[in-house]
Amino acid sequence: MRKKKLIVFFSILIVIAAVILGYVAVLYWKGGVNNYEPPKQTYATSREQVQADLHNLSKAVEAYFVVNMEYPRKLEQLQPAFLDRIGNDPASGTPYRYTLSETNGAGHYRISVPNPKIYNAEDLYIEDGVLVQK
Amino acid sequence: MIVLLSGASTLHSRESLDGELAKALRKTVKCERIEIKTKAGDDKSGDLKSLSMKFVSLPINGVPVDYVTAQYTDPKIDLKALRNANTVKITSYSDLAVRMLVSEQTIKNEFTRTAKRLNFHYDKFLIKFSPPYIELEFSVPVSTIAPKDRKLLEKFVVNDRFEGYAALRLEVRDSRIFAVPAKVILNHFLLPMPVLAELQKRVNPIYQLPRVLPFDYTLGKIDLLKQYIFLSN
Repeated sequence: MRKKKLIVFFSILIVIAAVILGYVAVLYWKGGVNNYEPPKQTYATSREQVQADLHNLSKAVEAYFVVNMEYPRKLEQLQPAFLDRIGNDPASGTPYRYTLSETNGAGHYRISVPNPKIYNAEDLYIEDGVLVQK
Repeated sequence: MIVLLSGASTLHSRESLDGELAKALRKTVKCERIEIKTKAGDDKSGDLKSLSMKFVSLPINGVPVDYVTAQYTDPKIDLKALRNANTVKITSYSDLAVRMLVSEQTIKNEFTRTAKRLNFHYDKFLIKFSPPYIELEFSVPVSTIAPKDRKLLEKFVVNDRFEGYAALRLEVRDSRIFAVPAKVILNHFLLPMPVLAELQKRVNPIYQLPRVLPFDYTLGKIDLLKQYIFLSN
């Protein structure tokens, strides 16, 4: 009986040691120089990706304003200082729409998806930094 | 003809207002360049719809912030104070947007300058912007890390050095910048999440941004762009 208990005890110890060793091995394996890269950005749905894209484009447009005191005439002007690439709407594969307007002396910008119906929306855009989806 | 003359006069007075504002601001805000842009509304009241001020290479806590803009909507300027005392006073406005851009190059220069000042020795310290992360690659002697933080990481020390990689996100609260480590590798070991959480607690906030006078704002947003850190209120 006592011998059986000892066997169980040592088995548990071995399992715990194996788990710890395995965990340390994984941390070591993941710590190689070839793993020197940031975590990957993943989006569960293309709608989530669109929202992130619109947010990033909007920030870049506002940053452009900080440097130039005016909004860019087209999104391509955001490269290379503010964005690596402009990107397309993931669902349709077509470029995002960008429009500039001026109301009562104040400039406004809007970046919208070309076909919001794909996302079951009437409108999906970001205007002056505010995301609108309805 | 009268319409043309009146238009030219409005344009002239606006240009002169821009110049007066820039001159008054130069008195209190020391930076490389100041640009002012005012826009009048479409109505005949002559009220300003927006006032944008741009400051180039503005030192904040000793760091030359590449670009700072303050954009007022519906501003009312105290013209008496401007003309008599050469002082900028915005008596009312409906919105104020303050935005700052700090370039990757400025961060690198600032790191080199601070390391020299603090006698911080390192073999390698690379900084790279990969939105939304800032990537760091480093090789530093253990002695350069503060003893209280060293204790947390002592299990990872090899040959009295810390060599590795970090990917950080930045957050800002009440004009204080926080670093959020998303991934840290030290001497070939990926740091587990509990260690990252403890590290995050110890090093933060990494920077406090003081207010640029005479503007009243609190920075609350931070984003990483390809070549810049973008801060806004």
